Amino acid sequence: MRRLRILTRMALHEMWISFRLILVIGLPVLGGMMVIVVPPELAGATAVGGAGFWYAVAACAAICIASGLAAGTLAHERQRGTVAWMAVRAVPRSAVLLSWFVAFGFLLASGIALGSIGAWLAAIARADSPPDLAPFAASIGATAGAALASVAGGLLLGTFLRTGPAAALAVALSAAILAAAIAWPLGGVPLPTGGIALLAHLDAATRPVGDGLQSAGAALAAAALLLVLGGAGLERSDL
Amino acid sequence: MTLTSSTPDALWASRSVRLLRPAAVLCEGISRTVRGERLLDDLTLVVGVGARLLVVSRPEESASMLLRVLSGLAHPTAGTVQLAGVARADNSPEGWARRVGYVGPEAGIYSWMTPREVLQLAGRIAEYDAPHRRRRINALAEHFRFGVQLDEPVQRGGEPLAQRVALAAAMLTDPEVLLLDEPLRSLDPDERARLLAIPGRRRTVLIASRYPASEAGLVNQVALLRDGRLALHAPVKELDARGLTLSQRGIEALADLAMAGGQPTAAANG
Repeated sequence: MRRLRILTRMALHEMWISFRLILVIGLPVLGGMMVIVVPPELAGATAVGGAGFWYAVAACAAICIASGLAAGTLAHERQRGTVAWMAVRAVPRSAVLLSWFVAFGFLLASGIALGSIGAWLAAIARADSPPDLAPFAASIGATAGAALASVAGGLLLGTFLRTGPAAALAVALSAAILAAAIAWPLGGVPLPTGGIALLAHLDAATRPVGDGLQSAGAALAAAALLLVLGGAGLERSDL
Repeated sequence: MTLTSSTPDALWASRSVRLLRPAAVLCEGISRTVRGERLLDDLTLVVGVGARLLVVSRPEESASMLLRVLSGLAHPTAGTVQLAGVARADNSPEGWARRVGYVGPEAGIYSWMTPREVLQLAGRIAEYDAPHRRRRINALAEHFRFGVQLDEPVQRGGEPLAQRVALAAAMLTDPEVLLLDEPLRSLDPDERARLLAIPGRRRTVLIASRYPASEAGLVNQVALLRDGRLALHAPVKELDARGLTLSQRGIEALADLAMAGGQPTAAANG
């Protein structure tokens, strides 16, 4: 646990030095702030539904980029020997993977939470009466879960691909999966990407809080599975 | 009981214990193939405590692969490894992390970090307390001559500083077995020789090198891997005795002579 804390601090410091920290936390915040400038004719049937849809689109873009950055980062760390530097000091390789997951996941989830404040303020500004916060908050929580799963997927790709291909594939896969979640929401099916679908279609949701919680659970389970696979892959690979 | 450099001093004082020729590196039946090329083929190597062993190979990648397998960075397809009495990398700071050091051709450190931060990190991972870390860092900064750059980012000193800091970080734990894969290539030869004259009578050092002549004076044993197999393991003085130089050609010639004499590996332990 102590080593994980040391490694996570290192990962955050490395992200800060390389401006990735600003990108990962700033993109969803910027996306949330941009919701207010969406023209009224594109703002949807209800204020909360419209804000949710546009924020889902912005969050998807941020998640895809963060997933690509996570994949590229781990692949680069392997290639330049920093993972080896840790491994020869008997630091478990899975601890290195976990530290990057915690760093990316914490920043991205924080960015999504902060960005959602902007989107919610835009919804309040357009609503005729005070909207209900619970469905929106539940869908944001589930979206953060989907973001964690996406980061874990990116890190998994980074355990066996080189920097460029890992980043490109992570962005492409995340974009395809998240776009599909927005285009074809499967209400009632607790998918890891259910949070994004819920946020994009809040107006149509019948039990948003329950669905949001289920999707968040599915996303966390998917993230855990992807991390286990990533840990096993890193353990078996040459450094 | 396996005698290693970890064996307590009181036992080392006994002549009978020394006669047992304790081994610091034991690897048995190691095999490894990369992209169809067999870099290590059923390789068995025993290196005694305190040895300074130069490993050269043909193909050149074999020596590097051997050190990476020994350090746990690469996985063998078969065989077992034991270093400093530890069978495999454990996660405890008292075990592998403190007993085994490895420095590869790449420094593997973040260039924005200062040498002090790198050494602090290595000390924290090894779970040394703050006063001990401070003492070791000051001693290493003096020995490796980066005292004035101790609080400047490594990138300002370039590759030579990065490589010195990487070696210093490996030495922080005072390892019993030190594995050096083409180390300190960015340094001038005199400074390189000074830093690679690693102190410690019971410390075992393995150096993988493509330029054996540059390791003259630093090693007392030499091993040659041919097609992944051990073709020679002999004291350096065997080369001198036959008028051969410490070069790839000289080592190959000694291996050929040993083969012709029906003794592919000369005993180098003890």
